[in-house]
Amino acid sequence: MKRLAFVAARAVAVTIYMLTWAYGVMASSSFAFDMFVKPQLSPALTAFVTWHSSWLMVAYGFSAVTLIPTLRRSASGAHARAAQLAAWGYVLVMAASALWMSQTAYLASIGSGQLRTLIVPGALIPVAWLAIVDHLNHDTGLRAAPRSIDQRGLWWATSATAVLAWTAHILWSWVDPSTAADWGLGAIYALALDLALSHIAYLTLTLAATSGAAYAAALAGFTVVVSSFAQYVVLPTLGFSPDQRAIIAWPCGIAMAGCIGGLRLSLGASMADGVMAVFGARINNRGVAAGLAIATVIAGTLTTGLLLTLDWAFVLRQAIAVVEACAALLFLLAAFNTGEARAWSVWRLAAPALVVSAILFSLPWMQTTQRGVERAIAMDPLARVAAGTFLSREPAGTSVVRQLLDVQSADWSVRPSVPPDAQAPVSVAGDPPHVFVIVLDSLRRDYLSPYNPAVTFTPAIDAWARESFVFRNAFTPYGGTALAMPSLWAGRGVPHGWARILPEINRLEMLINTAGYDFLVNDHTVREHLRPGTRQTFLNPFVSSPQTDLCQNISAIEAHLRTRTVTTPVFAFMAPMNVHILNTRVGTGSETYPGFHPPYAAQLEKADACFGQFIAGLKEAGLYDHSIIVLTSDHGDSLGEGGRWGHQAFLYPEIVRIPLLISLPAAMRTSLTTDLGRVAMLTDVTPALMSLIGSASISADPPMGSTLFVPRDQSLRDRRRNSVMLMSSYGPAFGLLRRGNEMYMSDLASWQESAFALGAVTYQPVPLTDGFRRLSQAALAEQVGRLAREYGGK
Amino acid sequence: MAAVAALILVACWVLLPVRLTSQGDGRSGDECLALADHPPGNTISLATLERCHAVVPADAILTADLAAAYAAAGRHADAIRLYREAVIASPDDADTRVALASVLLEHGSPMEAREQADAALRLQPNRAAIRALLDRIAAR
Repeated sequence: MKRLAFVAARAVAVTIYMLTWAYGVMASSSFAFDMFVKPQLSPALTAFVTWHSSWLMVAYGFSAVTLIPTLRRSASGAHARAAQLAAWGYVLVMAASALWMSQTAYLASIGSGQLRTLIVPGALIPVAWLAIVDHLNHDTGLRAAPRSIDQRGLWWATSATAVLAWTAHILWSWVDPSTAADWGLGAIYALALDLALSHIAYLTLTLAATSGAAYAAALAGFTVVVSSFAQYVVLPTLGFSPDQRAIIAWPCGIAMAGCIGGLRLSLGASMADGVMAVFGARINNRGVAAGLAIATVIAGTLTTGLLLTLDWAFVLRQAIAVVEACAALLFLLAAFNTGEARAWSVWRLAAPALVVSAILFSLPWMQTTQRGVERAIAMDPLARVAAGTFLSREPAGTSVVRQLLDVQSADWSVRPSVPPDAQAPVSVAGDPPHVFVIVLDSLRRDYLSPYNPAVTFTPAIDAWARESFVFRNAFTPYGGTALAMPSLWAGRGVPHGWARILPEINRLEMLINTAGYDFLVNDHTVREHLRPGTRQTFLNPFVSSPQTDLCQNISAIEAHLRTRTVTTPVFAFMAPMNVHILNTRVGTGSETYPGFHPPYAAQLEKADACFGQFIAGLKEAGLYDHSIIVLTSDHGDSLGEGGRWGHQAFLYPEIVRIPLLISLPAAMRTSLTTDLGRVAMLTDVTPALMSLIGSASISADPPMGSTLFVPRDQSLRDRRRNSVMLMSSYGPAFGLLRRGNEMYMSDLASWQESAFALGAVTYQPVPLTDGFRRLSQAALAEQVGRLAREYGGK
Repeated sequence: MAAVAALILVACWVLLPVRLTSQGDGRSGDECLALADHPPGNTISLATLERCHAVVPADAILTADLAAAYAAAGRHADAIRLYREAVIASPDDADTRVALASVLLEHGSPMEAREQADAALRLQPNRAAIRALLDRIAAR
């Protein structure tokens, strides 16, 4: 009971400290801070920060309680005295620290850049301090000869861990239809990768166990696992440079290893137990140990499966898979370890490698290696970790992504420069028309009947499209709202640190202010970054971002139009989330939509009805022929293609292809022309509105936007020859769009490099030639370099 | 025995990443792809265009560029054939349809020229140059 209380108290304290550390890491990244912390996108995160002083007191109290035995003990011996001194030091220093932080509301007060990086090492201090106390308390056996290791038991435990985790994840993927494609192929590759990983674990543990300082070696191994995972998987997604990643990851790994080791020692383990002191559970009943391992794997698998809809799922799933495998190994070591020195067998050592290689080399599908790995890592998060371990250091065509990310990283941590041309005066000619911009978050073009004849559930949009310009080759440069939305407002490519300069480059806001629009807006991404002087009516202000609804937005606009007293034209900007993956991953609708994802189609059908009523209302009020109406999306979405869901961390054609439909006032409709087959980017919307409402037309090369309309007697600038950079807003993935019908994609997170041929509705993977790869990577480097120069980077 | 096992072990672990990272067909054509992305107006020799078209025959813009070069050289039948290929490969490209219509008007079928010009006008509504082409076709 005492032990349980000790573990619980220590776990609570360490969890709070580590959450503080994680918050500090996020706050240290300008990108993460501006994107997620400042806009308060997560209520749980906001609550944690608000109540952090109280949490810190809880952490202090619980951790101090765990030190009571040390404080009360009559110390004998140098180490015991040192432990007691360290414990008293902890109690006093951390009390002062907790009091100071509660007085200053430290966590809630940071945000303007000062001192926030102190949280990262600061939050680890109590964790490391507790570990030091624990180790001083139990400094016995560090230099003792290692106890004999049951290598046979170790082999069975590591192998069984791999097979158990593989079985659970593969069975889950078999149940989940979204990951069922090429199931057999993926399962075989996943087994190979999991076995390879288990073999590495076996080798490492064996070497550690037989070394002269087995306990220290085990701690070092634990440190390497935690630190490498943070450095190579987690931190790249938050925009840290390589140096920053290492500086942040390794202290965390060391503190965590020390914490775990200290906890185990406090619970009765001995350093003389070597590897088993860190990794082996003390369970005498083998059946219970095996049962716990199975339960752990099932729980981990269910959690990773349910996490598929969350942002950063690709990181969370890997993290959980690693924890799951480590916990299962801990229990299986207890089940298989006999404590006897069973003989070393080099054949047994070689067996997993032979099995893995035999599988890979004897497969009948000799040309399906990449597909097999792709399927394996989609189905089994542990296989993804294995693929990252074995393959991410290989160039494999993805090294360019690493280089591009490094260039981008330089921008993420500093305030970008403001390009002079972004501040050029905006002029307005004549009486501006009303403007209604609807950016339906995650709207896919192939779910709209103007783009796909098979669609029957968007009749209102279809009818409106017949009176509108339907751009057939429209794309977003960014596979995620965080970069896509500001790029729309700015009318150009943006750096990750855009939030710090958006008020100075926001061309659409300048246009709205210059034209004196009655400005209505519902966009949670940029609301914090509009100029203080911009007069605005925020639509549906009490609706949280994920719940924003087109129907509600439209109702609010209609109410505003009915009750307003000014006569100036209206500029309404909406970014509703009706079809976002958060609202469409699963659904309860009874309607069936053959060939389409039913929850998504059902949500879209409802939004379409509201859109139809909106258009009818505008016509009835006599406003339609004096309005510019834009319907587009910030990005598309994966709806089960290849087992993918959402858009958060990867780039595929279904994510970068967007709808773009624009209807113009009658007078403009006949006097202007466009090229409906050209490559139209999301960044072209603002330049198009600027040219329609008055400013001179803008013509620029990607990643900058250019106008979509010109007078009918002017020649159109041909953008068909341009290649356009594409990038994920969150994950380490870049792509290149060539002429609107070819796409190159390189993704470091999932180790995939692909080429696609884009058809009118669907797309096909095509062989990636060396030539296309080189051309794409050169164009990518050029455009990323241009962005970096524009905004003052490298 | 142990040495043999160790050798197998090392060989397997060296070969595994090699096996997993092997991919692609290695077909080269980057020079021609880069050439196809050249800014309009740059003069490229007919021979170079022909060589590149052979490497990347599915590239619609390169095909249209070669067709334009044939038209300039007076090889109208070749130009029409390649423009048709380019239109099939990239049916949304109004400029290629206009170019095809222009050649067809002078050296082929005015009826087909009209079809292409109409299709181009649907892609570039109100475009004055296309309307002028349609007027020329109607005058025939």
